Amino acid sequence: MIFKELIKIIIYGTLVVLFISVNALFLVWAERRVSARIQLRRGPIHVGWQGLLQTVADAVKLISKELVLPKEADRFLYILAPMLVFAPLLSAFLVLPLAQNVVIRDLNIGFLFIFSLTNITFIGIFIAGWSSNNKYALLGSMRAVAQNISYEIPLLLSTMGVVLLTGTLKMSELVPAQAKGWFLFTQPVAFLIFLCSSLAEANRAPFDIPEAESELVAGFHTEYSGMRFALFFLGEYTAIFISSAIAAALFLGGWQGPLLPGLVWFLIKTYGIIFIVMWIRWTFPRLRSDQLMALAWKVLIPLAMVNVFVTALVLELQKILA
Amino acid sequence: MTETLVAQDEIQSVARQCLAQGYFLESFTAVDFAECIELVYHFNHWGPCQRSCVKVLVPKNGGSPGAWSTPSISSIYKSANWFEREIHEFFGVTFAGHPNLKRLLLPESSEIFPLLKSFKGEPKGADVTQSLKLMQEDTREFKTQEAVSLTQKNKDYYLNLGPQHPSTHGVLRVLLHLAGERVLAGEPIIGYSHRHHEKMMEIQTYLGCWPNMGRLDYVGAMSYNMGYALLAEKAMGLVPTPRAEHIRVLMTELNRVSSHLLWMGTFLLDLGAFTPFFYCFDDREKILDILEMATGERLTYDYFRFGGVDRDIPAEFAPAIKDFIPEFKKRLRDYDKLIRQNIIFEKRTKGLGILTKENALAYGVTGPSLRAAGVAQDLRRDEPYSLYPTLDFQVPTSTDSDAYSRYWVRFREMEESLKIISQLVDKIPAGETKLARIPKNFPKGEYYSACESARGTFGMYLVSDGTLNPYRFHLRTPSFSNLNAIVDMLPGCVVSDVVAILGSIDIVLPEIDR
Amino acid sequence: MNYLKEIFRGFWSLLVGMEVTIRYFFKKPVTVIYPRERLPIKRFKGPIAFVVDEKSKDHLCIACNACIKICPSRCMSLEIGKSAADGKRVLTDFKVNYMLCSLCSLCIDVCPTDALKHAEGDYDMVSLTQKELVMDLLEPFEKRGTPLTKIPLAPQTPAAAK
Repeated sequence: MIFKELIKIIIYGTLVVLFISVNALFLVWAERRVSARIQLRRGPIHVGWQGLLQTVADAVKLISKELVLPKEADRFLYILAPMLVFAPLLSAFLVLPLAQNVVIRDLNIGFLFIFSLTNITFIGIFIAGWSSNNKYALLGSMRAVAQNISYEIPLLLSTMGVVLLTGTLKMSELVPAQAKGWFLFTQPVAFLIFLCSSLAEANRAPFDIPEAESELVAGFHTEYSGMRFALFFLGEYTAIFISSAIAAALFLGGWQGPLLPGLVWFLIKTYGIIFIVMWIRWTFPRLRSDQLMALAWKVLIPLAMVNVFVTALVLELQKILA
Repeated sequence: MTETLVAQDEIQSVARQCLAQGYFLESFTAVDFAECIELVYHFNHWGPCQRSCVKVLVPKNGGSPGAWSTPSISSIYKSANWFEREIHEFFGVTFAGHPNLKRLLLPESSEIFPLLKSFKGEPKGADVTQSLKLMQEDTREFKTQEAVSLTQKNKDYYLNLGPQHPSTHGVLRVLLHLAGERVLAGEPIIGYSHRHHEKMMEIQTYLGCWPNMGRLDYVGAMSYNMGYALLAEKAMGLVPTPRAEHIRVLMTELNRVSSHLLWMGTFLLDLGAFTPFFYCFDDREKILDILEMATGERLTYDYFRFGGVDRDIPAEFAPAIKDFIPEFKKRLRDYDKLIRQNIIFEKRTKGLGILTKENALAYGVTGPSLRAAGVAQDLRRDEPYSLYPTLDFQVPTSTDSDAYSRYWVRFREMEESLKIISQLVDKIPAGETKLARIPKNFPKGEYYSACESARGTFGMYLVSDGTLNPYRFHLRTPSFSNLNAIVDMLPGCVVSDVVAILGSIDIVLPEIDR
Repeated sequence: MNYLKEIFRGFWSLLVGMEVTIRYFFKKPVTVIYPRERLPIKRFKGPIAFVVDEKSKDHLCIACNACIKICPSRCMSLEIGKSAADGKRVLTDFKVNYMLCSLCSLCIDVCPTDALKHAEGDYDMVSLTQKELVMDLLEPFEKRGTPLTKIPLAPQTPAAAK
C-alpha cells in the first residue's frame, strides 16, 4: 500500500516537474512572441520551428552559467531563496482539475490550499532580497511583501462569490457547477478582481514593482545568476499558469466544452487567460507602490466585499422567492 | 545685446537686480587672458529676447591657479552652482561663498586646469598609469560615501542610482538620500562621459568644429548644427542660400520630432511601459531614413556648412516626407490613446516633479520643461532666426508644470513641428546649396548666438583672436541647466518617481558632460 | 458615485489602450531579418575612398595636402615621391585611419580636384584587427592592373623619401 502510494507520488511528481519546465519554456517563448508582435517585431524565429527551441537554448545557457555568490550575502538564505520560491508552486498542481476525474488529490479545501501554499513563495522572495545584501534587492523584496499581503485579501474575497454560489471549495465540484453557465457571466466583477489580484500576486506588469527593472535594476533577484535566476523565472511563469488555471476553473467552466477532450479545453482556456495577461503586460505602464496599495485597499477590496454581499443577497432572495 | 563690465564685488548686487527683473542666467563661462580671467555672464529674459552680457575681470596678480578668487553668485542663481564648479575646475578660479566647490566634470582627484592657456599637458587619455591612479582615487572617494551599510540601524541610507542603471539615460549618477523608499535629498553627479569638446575645439580649425556639433547631443544633432551655422553666419556676415535655408529648417524640425519620439519612448520605458518605446522607434526610424537620404548619416549629423548644407537633397526627399506626415498623424492618435488617456500614466505623472516658475528662473531651465511651467519661451519665436519668422506655428504651453504637462507639451510640439514641415516641404526653392566662397576664420571679436534645440536653449559663446583656431568656445547646453533643477524636484517623492522625473525633463548626458 | 465613475473611467481607459495594442498585434512586423534581408541604402557615408577617373582609370589626387590639413581627427596621411619618368611629384601612399575618421566629409569638400568621395559600399563593415581599418586608398588601383597602377618611383634615396 505504502509502496503503491510512493510510486504514485514519484510518477505524479515527475510529471508535474516535467510539465512545469515544458510549460515555462513554452510560456517564455509565447511571451516573447506575443510581445514581439504587439511591438511590431518578430521575436525569436531562428532556433527550431518558429523559434520554439529558443528558450531551450537560453535554458542551456543559464545552466552553464556561473552561480555568482556575492561576498557580503547571507550564504545559506541566499541559496535557499530560489528553492523556496519554486518548490511550493509544485504543490499547487495537486488540486488542479485538469480534466474530468483527473485531479491528483481532490482535497475538500480546494483552491484555498493552493493560495495558502503558493504564498510561501513570497517568503522566498523576501529572503532573496534580504540575503543579497543589495539595496535595490531589499527595496524590491520590501515592495513584494507589502504587495502580497494587500492583494491576498481581494484575491480570496473575489472567489467567495463563486463559493457562495456552489457551496463548496472542492475544485472537482466547482467545475461541474458551471455546466449551465460560466461564473464569468454571473460573477463578472469577481472575475476582473481575481484577474487583477492574481496579476499582482504573480508580480506581473503593471504590478511588477518588486522587480521593476527601470527603477530597481532587477528588484529582488538583482544579484542572482545562472540557474538560481532561472528558478525565479520558472517560478514566475508557473505562478502565472497556476493563477490562470484557477481562473479558468473557477470562472470559465474548467474542462467543460464540446467535442474536444477535457484536458484540451482546460488548456485552451488557461492559455487564453495567459494571453490576456501578456496582452495587459505589454500595454500598460507600471503602477507606483503606493498607488498599488491604494488600488487594493480603496478599489478592489470594497468592490469584492460588495460583490460578496450582493451575491449573498441575491441567493437569499432566490431562496425566499422559491 | 548690452554689455557691461562690473567690478568683482559688485557682481552679487548686479545678479540680485537681474533676478529681481526676471532675468535668468543663460550662460556663464570664463576666458583666460594673459593678465586676468574674464568671467562672462549672459542673462536672458523670458519672452522677447533681451540678452545682456555682464563681464567680471579676475586679476591673476601672478598667482597660481586656485589662488584667484571672486564672489560667488550661487546663492542668488541656483544654476550658477554648476557653472561655477565648472569654471573652478577648468580655470582654477575660486568662488568665495560657493557651498560645494568640487570638481564637476573631471575626476575628483585630478589636478589640472585644462582650459588655461598655460596648460600644455597632452591629453592624459593615453597615459594608462595616470588613468589607473585617478580611478583608484575615485574608488576611495566612493567608499566613504557608501559607509552606511544595510545592517546599521539607521532609518535613512544612501543609494547610488547609477552610473550603471537602466533608466539614467546614459551614465548619470544620482546620489539619493533615502528613508525607506522616500527620497530626502538627491544630487545628480555628472561627468562620466566628459570629452571636453570645448578644449577639443580650441585646437581645431573653425571648419573642423563641425563634427563636434553632431556629437554633443546625438539625439537632436541638427539643432546643434543649426546653432553653429547661425553663429558663423552672424560672425562672418554670410547669408545662406534660400534652398539651404529651407533644407536646414526641414532637417531641424524632422530631427526635433525624432528627438521627442526617442524621449517619449524612453520616458514610457521609465514608467514601465515597453510597447510605446517600439512604436516610437518605428516612427523614429522612418524619420532617420528620410534624414539619411539627404545626409548619409543616421545619428551624429554634420550636415550644415557655413552658408549652406553639405550635400543637396535627393529628388525622393520631399515625397518621402509627404508620405510620412499622414502616417505619423495617425500614429499620434494611437499614442494619445495608449499613453495620455491611460489612467496609470495619468496617475503616475500628474502632480509629479513640480517645477515652479521661481525655480525655473533660478535654475535657468529652458525648452519644453519651461514651457510646461506656463512660460511661452521659445527662441524660434523670441529671437527669430532662419526661416522661422515666416512660418506659422504655435508655442505649446501648459500650466501644471508637472511630468504630465511636460509630456503634453512635447507631444504638441511634435504636431507643431509637423505643421512647419508640411508648410515647407512643397516650397523648397531650386538653387545652390552652398556658397561659392566662405572665409576660413572668424573675424576677431566675441560672438554669442543661441537657437532652440529639442531640449531648450543651445547657446554658443565664441572668442576669436583672428587666427585659424577659436580662442575660446563655450557651449551652453540646455540639459546642463535643466538637470540641475531636479535637485528641488526630488525631495519627498519615492524611488519610482525619481526615474519618472529624470525621464520627464529629457536629458542627454553627452550634451551635459560635453 | 464619483468614486464609481472614476473606477469606470480608469477601466475604460485601460480597454482603450488594449484596443491599440491588439490592433498592432495583427499588423505586419516592421523589422527585417537582417543578415538575410537587407534594406536598401539611399545615401551612405562610407569610408573615404578615391574617385576613379573615367578617362584615365586613375585617381585624381595631386598630393596637395589640403585634406590632411583640414581633417579634424587627423586620420589621414600621404606620402609624396618623384616619378621616375618625368620627375613630377606623385602620390606614393595615401592612408586613412578609419578608426579615427569621424566621417565629416570636410576632406571631400576641400579637395581641389574632387579626388575623394565616400565609398558607396556595404554598411556592415567589420574587421577583426585594427590594422584592417587603416585603409590604403591606393590599394584598388594597384589591384586592377591598369597602366597607371604601379606608380613608377624614382630610386629611393633618403632625401627623396622625405
